[in-house]
Amino acid sequence: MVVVIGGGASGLGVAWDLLLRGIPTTVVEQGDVGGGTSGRFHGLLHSGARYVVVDPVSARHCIAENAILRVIAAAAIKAVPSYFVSVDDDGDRYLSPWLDGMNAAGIGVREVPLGQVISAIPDLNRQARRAFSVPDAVLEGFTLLRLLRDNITQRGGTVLTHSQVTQVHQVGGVVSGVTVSSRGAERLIVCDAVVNAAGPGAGQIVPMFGDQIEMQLSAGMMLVFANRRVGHIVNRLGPPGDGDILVPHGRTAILGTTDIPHGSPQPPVLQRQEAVYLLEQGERLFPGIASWRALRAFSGVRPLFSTDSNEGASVRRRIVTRDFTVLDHGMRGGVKGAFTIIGGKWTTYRLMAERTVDAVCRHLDSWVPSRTAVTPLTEASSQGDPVGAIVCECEGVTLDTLHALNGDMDTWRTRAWFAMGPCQGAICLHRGAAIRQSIVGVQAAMQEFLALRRERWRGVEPVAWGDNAREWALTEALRHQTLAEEGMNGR
Amino acid sequence: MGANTDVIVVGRGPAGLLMATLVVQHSGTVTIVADGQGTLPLWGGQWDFRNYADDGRPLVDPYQWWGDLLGGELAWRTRWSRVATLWHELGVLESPDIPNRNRWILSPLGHLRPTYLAPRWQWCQDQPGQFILIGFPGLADFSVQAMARVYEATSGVGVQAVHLPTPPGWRPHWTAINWAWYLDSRAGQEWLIGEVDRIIDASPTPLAFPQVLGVDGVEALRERLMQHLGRVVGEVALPPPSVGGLRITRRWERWLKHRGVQFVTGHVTGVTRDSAKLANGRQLSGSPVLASGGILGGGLYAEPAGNIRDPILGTIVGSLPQDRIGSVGHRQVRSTVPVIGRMVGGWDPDRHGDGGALTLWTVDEAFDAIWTGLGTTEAAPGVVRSQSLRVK
Ligand SMILES: Cc1cc2nc3c(=O)[nH]c(=O)nc-3n(C[C@H](O)[C@H](O)[C@H](O)COP(=O)(O)OP(=O)(O)OC[C@H]3O[C@@H](n4cnc5c(N)ncnc54)[C@H](O)[C@@H]3O)c2cc1C
Ligand SMILES: Cc1cc2nc3c(=O)[nH]c(=O)nc-3n(C[C@H](O)[C@H](O)[C@H](O)COP(=O)(O)OP(=O)(O)OC[C@H]3O[C@@H](n4cnc5c(N)ncnc54)[C@H](O)[C@@H]3O)c2cc1C
Repeated sequence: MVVVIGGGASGLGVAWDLLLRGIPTTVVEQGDVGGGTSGRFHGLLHSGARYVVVDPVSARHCIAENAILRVIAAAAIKAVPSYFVSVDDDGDRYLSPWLDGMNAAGIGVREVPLGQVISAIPDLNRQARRAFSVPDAVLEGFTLLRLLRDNITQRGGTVLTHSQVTQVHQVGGVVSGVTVSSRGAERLIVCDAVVNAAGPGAGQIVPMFGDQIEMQLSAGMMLVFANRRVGHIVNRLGPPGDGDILVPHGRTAILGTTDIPHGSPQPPVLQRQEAVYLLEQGERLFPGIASWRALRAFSGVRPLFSTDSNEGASVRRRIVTRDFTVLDHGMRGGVKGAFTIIGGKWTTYRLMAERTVDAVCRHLDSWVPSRTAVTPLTEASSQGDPVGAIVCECEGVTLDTLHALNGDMDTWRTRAWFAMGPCQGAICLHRGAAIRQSIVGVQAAMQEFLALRRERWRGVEPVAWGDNAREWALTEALRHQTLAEEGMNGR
Repeated sequence: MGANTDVIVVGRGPAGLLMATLVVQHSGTVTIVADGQGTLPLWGGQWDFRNYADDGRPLVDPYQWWGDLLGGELAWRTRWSRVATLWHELGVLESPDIPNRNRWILSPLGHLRPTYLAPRWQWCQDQPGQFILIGFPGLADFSVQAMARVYEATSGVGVQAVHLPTPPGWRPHWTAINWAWYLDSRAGQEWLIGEVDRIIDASPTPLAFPQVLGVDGVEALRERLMQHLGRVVGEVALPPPSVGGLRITRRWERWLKHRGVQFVTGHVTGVTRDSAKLANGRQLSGSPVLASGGILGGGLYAEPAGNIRDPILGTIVGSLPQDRIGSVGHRQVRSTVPVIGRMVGGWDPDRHGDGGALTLWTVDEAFDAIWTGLGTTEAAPGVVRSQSLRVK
């Protein structure tokens, strides 16, 4: 038995790899699956093109994994045309090292006539100079997490949510079990190894393994725009920077990101100032972007790790490697059978998992090769056409869908996209509360409802301008004047 | 050149319509120019006076709260009777007297909340009592079981919930508006009376319906239901588009048109003391009054950096996040061009429940200003009130 800490891309990836090698596993996740960075990222299946100059190792990993995921996780990958566009001298200067890097990494690149790109993307900067097509794609994080989780449980693995590892036990310096605390209750899981895949929280787990590491966390903000103004992935050609990628996602398009040193695994409070800065960067690719209908902002924390070589250096953060590291704490003088997987990208989660489980196998002394690269993740059940009364109009979510999900309102959000559309819950949250009431009672349903309302507001507030501000003014009127949602408790 | 009227009202929301009403009642001529519908059809039509005290607790006696402010009780009673009289003329039946205190209405979540002046169709009580909630198939905004549970948990009074079956011709996508049109028809009314009679008991317990009892025929249907079932019948206002607001809007605009008010569809880009300029180049002459709404109505625009701009007057009136999105606005009503309704800041209809009073007072002020010539500049009531409260 191997216990995996963390239910993000890395943790579920490791669990799936273990199961395919015949090793029983339990994932322990403190919140919900995808509650960490894997549910708060930009949604790009990297081709590696972004990294060919500054981080060629990462670039090579990305292109290899990109090809694999398109096959094994087809349901979660959306192929859309994807471009690098040079819009200024920065871009032109970068062009030749970039093309050399692309060649060296073996990433297919093709110049596309500008006229063709501009007619496909009318919002693009008319000063654009050259455009290149690359094999980036859209990665639907929540879909892939669902696939992984379904396949893990079908293979007999266990995913414990709302559970935390509080203690690691050892016998003679070797891992023997962990104590898990779930909703106030504690239990012991006996195991032969522990994998720390806690993402940005990994640094807080390591001391339990009798070791220390220094994380180099950074937060990135993204802005969501309604109406999928652009249906293509657009990268600004140049050294990786802020606000230089637009990724279409469902009915939206997402601009990202920023890169700001951050002290905690929890995402920071979103600031309007940062949103405006991001918007200004976005204007270099899309001059009219300030007039697009903004929906909300969100941010995630990069689980980067400073290895000794670049520790303390004043290197520009984006130049810090995006590559990953597997730590075998037994080899570092800590507890044997304890491992940490850290860094990397969503795109490379599978490779990271494979390398990690290779190390676990060496510890267990039973070598079985990884099969994740050749084993497609199967859909548990194909959801038929949605039927029944519509609860969320923006995203067309029906009552039957919500009942079938059998979870709380936040699960509805990540699985069915409930309350994620242009109205951000103005028209549908109270309906959700009524449905939840019959299951969890008045108090708990009201708490869920108010919590989701606050969660939506936190993302809307920093981008409350133009039509999005009007939408929120309507939400405020509805909350207080129509629904009296805070009851008699004042406002 | 375009129309030439005494007054040009920019905006078709409640403030704009009320302004136009005062002018025609004083035999003036009016043009209403607007680029959209305004917010009246987004709410049930109950006019709030002041629902909550500063600490957020519900208020029973709004007159006491207002005290001498903004003219005191006498001025307020005059203002409210103006609305009640107008409603009578529109055929919106109101309780005969202007209430002395706030009464309770039910929200679609099952919460009680205060309000002041409400049409008689509104389900309204003086204190929490018993009633039967009538559920309509497919109306996600009116979940009677959930509402009953919340009402019981918060008021301590138990209520019943019953469900109607689907009528012939019903479709799953029917919203409140579809139901209301259906219940304007003879067939719909017969179906409703028969079915309700069948599913409720014989007690005299009042019935609370969702606000769907017809668009134009609500008074007649409600009267028939009450006679046939021998009990009080009222409606709970639902989220937008709201049938109650739609009823009032239709009747009110018709009433104004019959009195010669011109309705122009257009986007105003600028005003002077005696004209308004439209985006299509057209120019209207007359004294403009801006009733172009707050951020929701489009009269105020939030810029990315947070500034709140009045695009017609070109002024910055506040900024986010320092100001609240629901209470930001101009600090005064009387200026070269008067501003009324939600354009005026310092009031907080969301938090305080004073949207109706905001409309009444600002329209009153602006009317004085343009009818008696431009007067002095006065601070918004938010400023007046907090100063006088501090003195107390
Ligand atoms: C702004 C931003 C944009 C990005 N964009 C992209 C992109 O476009 N493409 C791409 O490929 N990559 C992208 N990435 C990188 C990618 O999202 C991350 O590398 C990846 O999601 C990390 O996954 P993870 O499983 O390691 O961490 P996480 O997803 O954070 O998972 C860790 C989990 O561990 C749990 N946990 C923590 N402590 C405990 C504990 N004590 N007990 C139990 N559970 C615990 C947390 O709740 C969390 O769910 C982006 C990252 C950021 C920040
Ligand atoms: C959901 C909701 C529930 C409410 N509930 C209640 C309640 O229970 N009780 C209560 O008393 N009040 C309620 N209100 C009323 C609210 O509090 C305000 O008092 C009211 O909405 C203000 O209306 P207004 O006339 O100032 O502006 P609006 O109704 O917003 O009208 C603005 C008008 O100006 C036009 N316009 C804007 N800019 C231009 C331009 N440049 N050119 C031309 N036209 C322009 C618009 O098209 C529109 O016609 C509610 C409001 C909402 C939205």
